[in-house]
Amino acid sequence: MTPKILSIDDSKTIRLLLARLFRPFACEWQEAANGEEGLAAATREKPDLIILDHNMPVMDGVTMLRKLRDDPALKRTPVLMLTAEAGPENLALVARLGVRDYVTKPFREEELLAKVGRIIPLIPRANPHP
Amino acid sequence: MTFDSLRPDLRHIGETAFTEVLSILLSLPATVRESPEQCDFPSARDCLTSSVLLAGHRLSGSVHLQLPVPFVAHAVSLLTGLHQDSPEAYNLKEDTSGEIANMVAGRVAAQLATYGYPCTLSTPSVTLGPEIPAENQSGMDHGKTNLFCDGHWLSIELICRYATS
Repeated sequence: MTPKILSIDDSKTIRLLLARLFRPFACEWQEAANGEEGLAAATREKPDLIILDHNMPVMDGVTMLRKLRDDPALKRTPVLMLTAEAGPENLALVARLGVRDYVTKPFREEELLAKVGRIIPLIPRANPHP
Repeated sequence: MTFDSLRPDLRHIGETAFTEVLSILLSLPATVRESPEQCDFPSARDCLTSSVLLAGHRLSGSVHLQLPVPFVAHAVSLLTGLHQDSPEAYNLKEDTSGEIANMVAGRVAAQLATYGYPCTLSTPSVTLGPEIPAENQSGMDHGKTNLFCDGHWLSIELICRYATS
């Protein structure tokens, strides 16, 4: 079964970058622009992985993650957090929130792909330009 | 050891953060240069200023990047694959500029934390023009660096006030 990935980031540039990065792989790609939209999308779509930005308006990544963990249907959904705040305090906070992994921005594409590949299977599409 | 000797070198911090982000995010090398004349910088309508506020128990401040619009257009193209002259790419210039500032500010914050000044970031704000938002800067520390990257002049400025305790 094709894994579903939900990308949640207020930056359209980052959402386009990530969509482009994962296009060669067999996965169903969905997006949301903030934590509030992301929660609604996660409830509706039940993704296999959420790639979640840390710092967003409306509802930030930390708040969204806490609400996700309060939902019995979603609390086991693996989350990989993207954060620009690479200081030790912030990374310790992120780790305590129970994310499966994190990547600091800017990230090297191969690093992000490797970390995602440890969570869900990333299989190249038969037709890389669907 | 006096309090003043613990002050971070804001110029070095900004320079390191900005060159690292340009290298990792865009694969663009940048060199630090003293601009010979102010007229080498872009005019007001060709420059985006992206700002991120820093807030911590012992520090408050801001990070400001000045990026020429053609540089940002190229960055949009590198990141998204969109043609840099397309309307869609043009509409992303503030977003991309803000995201670059977010990443640079994140690296600045990580370095400030090593000096004992942990802080969090605001969401970025972006304006057209080279002017940094006016604020009472008395008693604040400054660091500014000019970089030459991808055929353009860029700059980063850090402004910080430290709590006395």
